[in-house]
Amino acid sequence: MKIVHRLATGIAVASLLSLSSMASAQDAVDPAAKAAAKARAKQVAAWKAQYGPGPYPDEVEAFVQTREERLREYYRVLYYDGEHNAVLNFERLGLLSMELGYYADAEKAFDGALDRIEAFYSKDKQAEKATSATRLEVNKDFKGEPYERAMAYYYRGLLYLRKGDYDNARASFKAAEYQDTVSGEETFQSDFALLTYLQGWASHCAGDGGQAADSFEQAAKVDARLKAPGPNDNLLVLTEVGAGPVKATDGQYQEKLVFRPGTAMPENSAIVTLGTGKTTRAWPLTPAANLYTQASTRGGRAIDGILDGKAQFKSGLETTSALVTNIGTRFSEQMGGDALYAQGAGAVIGMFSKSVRPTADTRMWDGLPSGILVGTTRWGGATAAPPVAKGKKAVPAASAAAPVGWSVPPVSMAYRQDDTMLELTGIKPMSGNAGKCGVVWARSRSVAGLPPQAPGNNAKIALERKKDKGVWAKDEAFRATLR
Amino acid sequence: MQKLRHVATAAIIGLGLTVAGPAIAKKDRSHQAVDLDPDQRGIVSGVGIEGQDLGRMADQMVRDLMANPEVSNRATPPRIILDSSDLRNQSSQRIDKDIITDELRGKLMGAARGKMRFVSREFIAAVEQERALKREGVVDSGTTGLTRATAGADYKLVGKITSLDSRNNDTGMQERLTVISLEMLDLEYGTLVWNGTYKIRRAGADDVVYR
Repeated sequence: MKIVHRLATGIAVASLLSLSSMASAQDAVDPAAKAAAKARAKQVAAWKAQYGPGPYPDEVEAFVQTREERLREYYRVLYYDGEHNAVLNFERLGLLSMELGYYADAEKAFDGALDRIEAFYSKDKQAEKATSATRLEVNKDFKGEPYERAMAYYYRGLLYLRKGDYDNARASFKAAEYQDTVSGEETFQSDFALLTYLQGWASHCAGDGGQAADSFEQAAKVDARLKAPGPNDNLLVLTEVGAGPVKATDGQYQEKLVFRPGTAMPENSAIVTLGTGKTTRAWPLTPAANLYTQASTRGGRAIDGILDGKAQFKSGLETTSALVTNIGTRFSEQMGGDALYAQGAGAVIGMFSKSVRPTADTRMWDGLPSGILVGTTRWGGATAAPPVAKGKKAVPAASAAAPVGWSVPPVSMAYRQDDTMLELTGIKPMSGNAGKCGVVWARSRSVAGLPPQAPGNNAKIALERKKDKGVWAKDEAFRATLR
Repeated sequence: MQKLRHVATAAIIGLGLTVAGPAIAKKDRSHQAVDLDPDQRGIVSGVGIEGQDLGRMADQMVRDLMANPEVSNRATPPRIILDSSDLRNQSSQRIDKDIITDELRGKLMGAARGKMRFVSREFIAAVEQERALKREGVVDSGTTGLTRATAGADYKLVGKITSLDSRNNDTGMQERLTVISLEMLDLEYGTLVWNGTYKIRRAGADDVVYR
């Protein structure tokens, strides 16, 4: 017994000694560190009150400092919002990066958006919440409407074209067109002819003449203005004009998602000028896409039925509340009872009706254009012919073969309202010719002036969402991929 | 006895605090990265080619190719170029084609055991540079000696990735048939000495809120 007693006493003393030595060692080692830790704890408590579980400004700041200065505010929003708005934030970041010439950032951003668009969110807790009667649709992680998804693929495709990766460019335009098949009405399925045309262009540049011809033919069937490019054309020019469609809500409880044309801008056509001096070439580009048409012809969404059900339930509760209050009060008065019971019951039902939230999600990609114009040409000198052995005939050059040592010339855009020239030069065009073909992409309006936060977000819901441990862990994993 | 109990209780609590204290203080809610089996379906999935398909496809193609005597049972091992330069992606999925050819080359090299030789053209610049240094006398000739020229190839792996997408707008179900078709092209005669096809047919539906 004595041995056990001594052993237990020994363990207790050793434990206490080790604990006190740990504490005293910390004190002795660095009192400044202790003060700093205390100050940090106080700061974290203040941030916790403001930002919930995080991430906190110091962590976000450390992350954004590693990014290009002009993109930092967008990266800040991306990092803080986590998975909730990842697709939307990636899309907006991608477009800004593309405009400012940070192509590596743009490629990664659009890949980030597309990877999420392509993944199935089955059994997703946030998606389930969006269908709950008492939760808003905005609870779900954003994936966008088909026209927004298609545009993410479109921009990624252009970035592939810039690098000369025609296979993946074609895959992107194909996947973009596939998004258009979501349309409820058959008439509007696969009517985004520009995407078919761009598939044709990617095939043309990849040397797949048969596939290119098929795509150009299909595109022309949908939109007769889209004529197939010349067999030797090697430069694609695209410019985007105006402001894209806007999401809004309609209905008694804002349960209907509707699309409205974006802010009216004067420009509706453009003339591209290539080269300088004697080599200058200018021609008007062909209107090839209208984004408002694409957004507004999509037809009903599956979630619309759920939101409509929520709205009807809310309306039913409100009617019941009014009936219980009015009829119950009258009945009680006639019967000589206490009307307060009926009024109380009516108020309870009324309060419950207020908790039913059918409002549609209006988060949107605000930097999109209203229209896209397109044109192609042949640029550059003699075509690089394959070396010919002595005594053999030279083989004629294939279509879109690379001219010798060519590069995309200086490009400028002049925007017009019908035939009237406007004082509008647009952004500095993106251009590149890594492969056989070159691409020029421009916009009449810059996205650099847009706020870093996407419109339509619900900050209260976003903050509430972060308190869910599972969601927080998912966001942490997302942030880890960004760092 | 009473005293012994107090001391024992203190010892247990003390020990517990010593062991668990730092662990409790360091508790955080972040998720550690997890290792996943590359041959099993991952956490995130869609209808396209995924990680697990690559291993299965390569296994099937290697078996198929090794069973072809024209390629795998020649007295002199054939020289083969196996890279992605002539693998066309005509599907609707963005993909780095190298991931397919690298997987296939790795498995084929393991299975061939000298019955095939693989010629690298991807890094020919590095080869040419070293050959120039050797011939200029900047470096010695190495241990394998000098050759008149770099290896010419007998065959080249060529092929296509194609896909067919369909969707049921009533149910939100999406389906994609992806076909990876590879062929061994005789670089002298132009004939195809082997063809292998791997098909992936995958369907799924996104949550109702995204349809």
